[in-house]
Amino acid sequence: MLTNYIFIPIIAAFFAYLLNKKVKYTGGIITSIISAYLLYQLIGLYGKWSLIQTINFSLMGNNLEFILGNNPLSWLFALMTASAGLLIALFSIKSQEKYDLSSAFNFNFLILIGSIMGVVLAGDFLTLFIFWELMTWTSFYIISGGTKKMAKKSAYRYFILSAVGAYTMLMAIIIIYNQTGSFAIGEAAQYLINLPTGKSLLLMGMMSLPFLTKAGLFPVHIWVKGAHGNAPKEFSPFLSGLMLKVGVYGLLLVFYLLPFFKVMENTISYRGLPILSYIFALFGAITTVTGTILAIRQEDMKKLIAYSSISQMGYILMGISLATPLGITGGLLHMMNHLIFKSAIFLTLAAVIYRTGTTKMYEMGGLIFKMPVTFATYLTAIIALAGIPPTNGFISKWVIYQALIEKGYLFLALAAFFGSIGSFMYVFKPLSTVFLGQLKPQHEKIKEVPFIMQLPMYVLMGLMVLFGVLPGIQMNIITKISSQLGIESVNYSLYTIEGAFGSWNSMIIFNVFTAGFIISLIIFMLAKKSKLVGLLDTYTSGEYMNDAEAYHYAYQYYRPFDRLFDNFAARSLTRAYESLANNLSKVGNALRKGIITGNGQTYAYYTVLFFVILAIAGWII
Amino acid sequence: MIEMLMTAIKFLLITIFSSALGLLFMGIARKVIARIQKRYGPPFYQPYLDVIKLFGKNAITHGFIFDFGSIMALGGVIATLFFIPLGGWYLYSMSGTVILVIYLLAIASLGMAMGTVGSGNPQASLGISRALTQMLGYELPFLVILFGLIYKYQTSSIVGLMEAQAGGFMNWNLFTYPIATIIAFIVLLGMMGKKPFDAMIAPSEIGSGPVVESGGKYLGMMMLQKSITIIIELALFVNLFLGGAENILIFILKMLIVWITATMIGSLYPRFRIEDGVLFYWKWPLMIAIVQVLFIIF
Amino acid sequence: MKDKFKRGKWKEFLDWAQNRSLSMLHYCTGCGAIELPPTMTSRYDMSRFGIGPAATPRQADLLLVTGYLSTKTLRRLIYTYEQMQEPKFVVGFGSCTINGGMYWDSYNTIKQLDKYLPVEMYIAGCMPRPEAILDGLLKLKDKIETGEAKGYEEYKENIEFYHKNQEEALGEVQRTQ
Repeated sequence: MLTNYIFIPIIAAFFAYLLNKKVKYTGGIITSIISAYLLYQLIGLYGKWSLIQTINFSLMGNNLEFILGNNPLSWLFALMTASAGLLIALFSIKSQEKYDLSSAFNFNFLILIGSIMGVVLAGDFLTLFIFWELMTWTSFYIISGGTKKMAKKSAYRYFILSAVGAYTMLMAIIIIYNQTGSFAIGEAAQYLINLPTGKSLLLMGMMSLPFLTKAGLFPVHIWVKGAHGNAPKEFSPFLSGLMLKVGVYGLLLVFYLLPFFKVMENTISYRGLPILSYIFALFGAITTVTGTILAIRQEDMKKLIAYSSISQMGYILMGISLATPLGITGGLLHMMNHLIFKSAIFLTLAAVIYRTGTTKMYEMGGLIFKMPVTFATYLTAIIALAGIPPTNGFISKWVIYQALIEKGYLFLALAAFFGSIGSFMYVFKPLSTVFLGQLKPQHEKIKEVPFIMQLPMYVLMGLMVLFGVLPGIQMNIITKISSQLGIESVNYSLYTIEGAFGSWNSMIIFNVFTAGFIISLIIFMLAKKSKLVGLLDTYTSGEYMNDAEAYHYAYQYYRPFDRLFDNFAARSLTRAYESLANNLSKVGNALRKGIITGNGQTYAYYTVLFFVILAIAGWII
Repeated sequence: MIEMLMTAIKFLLITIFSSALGLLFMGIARKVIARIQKRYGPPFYQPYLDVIKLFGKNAITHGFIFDFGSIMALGGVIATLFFIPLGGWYLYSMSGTVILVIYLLAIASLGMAMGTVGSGNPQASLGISRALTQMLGYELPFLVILFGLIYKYQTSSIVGLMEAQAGGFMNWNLFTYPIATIIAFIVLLGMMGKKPFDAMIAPSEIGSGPVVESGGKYLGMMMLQKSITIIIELALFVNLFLGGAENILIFILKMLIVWITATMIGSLYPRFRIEDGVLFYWKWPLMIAIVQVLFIIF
Repeated sequence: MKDKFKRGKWKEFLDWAQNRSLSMLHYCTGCGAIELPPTMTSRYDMSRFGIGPAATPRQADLLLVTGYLSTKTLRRLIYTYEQMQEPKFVVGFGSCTINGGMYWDSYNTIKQLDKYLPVEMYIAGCMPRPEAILDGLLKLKDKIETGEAKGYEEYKENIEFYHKNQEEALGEVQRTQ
């Protein structure tokens, strides 16, 4: 029963709210239990690819038909949602003990999980739209519950952008409904193929707008920084790990299940790729470069990782808009891997915020002594993000590079390289400023986070290494999705993947890496044991160091690099949107002042005008 | 079991051989620089003595991360070594190794960065931030050229690229794509940290940068890491652009010629500031590399 | 002469390597420092003997105290010496470290470096020419090779003596942690 997946979380949300008002921790516990239950049910759903459930609903004489279907793509997204929800809920049981709005958080979170299930399991556009809007509403409430000053304003921006996109999609859906008489996706696909190219492309372009916004791609990426930076600390992993991917789900839907790319094939093409899908890939490339450059400048650690999320989504978009086997595989692999390592990074940052209460990196330092597990998770996650073997991030990046080099797209590959090497820089900054260095005196009493919060971190660390060594586990489901989307799949085995110019064998990499490490360890052990000294005893040209604050290099870590891009970062797209909104509102105000003047004579004039028009139209006299 | 033992012995032999060769190259470089400056220099076996002395000295450590970073740096570099063909020997000729090598070198940088920043000295953090910025500078033209080469020869294994240049020395990439070779040579100067791109070491500005707190065995391991890194980068350059070699002696000769040329050029210049260095790499080398690769593709 | 000072085979090997590769931290306190650049550069090349510059005390073996030491500088010098790792050697440079030199009746300088730090070798002169410096350093190398240069161990053994002298001259001295 596919409706279970949607309605059980929604109903449980009410219980969670009421119970959490009474007893503090129950909200999180209920969320975890529900997510675990969904996960368990989903594992049983694997393989039933043609399960379709139709609900007929009669409303005021019209017959509405809601279709829910299970196919590999939906199954993967549902699985990702349930597992992310479980990990976040486990983490939030303890971390929200001082948060006033935790009941509302759990209420909205459960409804959010239910509505995401609704979006990905939907077989017709009406279901998709209803649950899409529900998802936007609940995440808007969660983000505006953040504790920072700008939380409400950034949530507002997020909502407005999402709404603009969603109503554009609604227009397109209604136009299609008018012509075909049904909301189902399959029928829409049939209709759109037979339409003249221009109209068809316009309709599908309109439909892809909300998904572009949700995925945080250029030029509608401006909500990401505010939403991630100001959301409650437990919600950022979910927002960045999963909700950006729902946008990718929508894009895959529009690109492949609706025949967006098929229709584009009739247009001009550049080196084997239609020019319009190349434009999407170019958007992805611009997003990658912009996200990297802006991430390096940030002083607030959550905003830095938010920009990093944008640049990784650029990779995914580049991968999936290439419409080759390697491209789809690379994009989907990177999507799954990004969920894992980005959630891990944000959970780590949430743990640090839980203990220290601040997000500015230059106010912290030396936390490795007090929070070693957090540090280990962060280290593994940035090794995965930077794409270094033997973690899973390297595999997905390698496949995307193969896809780009195979066809010879130089500028896309240049953007991909820039994003990858730039990511070394911005992930190293929190490592060096938050965890390493001297401990500030006000943080002397900090302890490691409780075990229930460490548990998701262990799980994610294990997954990163596991998928790095054995990518075949992920490739099982990805090849099925590939064939569902109509692209042939890539050859693989448990630990090899075959690319365009050769194959990747992760066992060899792992073995060699271990061997190198062991040799180095032996050399280290053979030498004399060294003496441990404190961190305040370093080379300072003979001066005496008593104040840890003055010796921690954290503020404006990459100032020479930032100087190169000062002009670029000063032109903010946010200000452009804001000025557009201001001008529209000025026009509206002028119209309003012109029509509703508060002057009795104008109103008398309107009344006379009304009767004159009626007389001319012949309805009176 | 015997096979594992044989592989382990091969690993050890390659490590010891490259490390010894790298240290010898470092000594030859010091001699060459000394002769350019019209003086005798240290004897060419001086780095061996330095390493032995450093391992005999006591050292201090600032905690677990300092040790772990040094081990990871040396381990990453040794792991990278096993993927590069040296003369006629190579352990693994799997495809995709070119991109793999570049990323494995990143483990070494990350390890060294983590370990040295863990010492708590702000000069180490300064040096590392400069080193990472510079890495962004020089990697871009290099990866563009690699893109062109992989596309042209349709293979991404180093052995494959080496064998594609077989058949007489007019087939070397040096003569078929001379501009790409020159750009890759400029990138090599940046990779090895020679002047004018050595702002990250900068002994008089930031107290020798990252290794400011390392003494004794940590500095010895850094020297070993530097020696193996030299061999990896030179071998990569020779394999990709000078056609590699079947015989180990000819290979060493080619590496020596490239090394002495790089040293001689490096001894003439003062230091770039970091943003000037990055901007330099992004101006002419990147543009010329893009033009060259566009010619290859179309 | 080689076995005059008792040490094991391994220590003998390490001393053989140590004396051929000295990293020098030249603590330029006074006017004597001006003779070091000619010694290090092309004319009187010091690097052919294996002696090279070190940037920080953590990497250095040899502490070259060039000239007079005011009390302010002595404080930093002791801190630097304690940050160096063993084996380490101190060379006094110029007559100011031997007996106060030109500043023998000043209230602010110290007169005899040996009371505060264990000095292996003095190089006399005001200031010594580069050839004298090289001569002194070569003799130091011989001393290291035969194992005679054990100043750091004497410092550890007689640490109360040295600390008492330092505190007498400086008042209170902050130690490394």
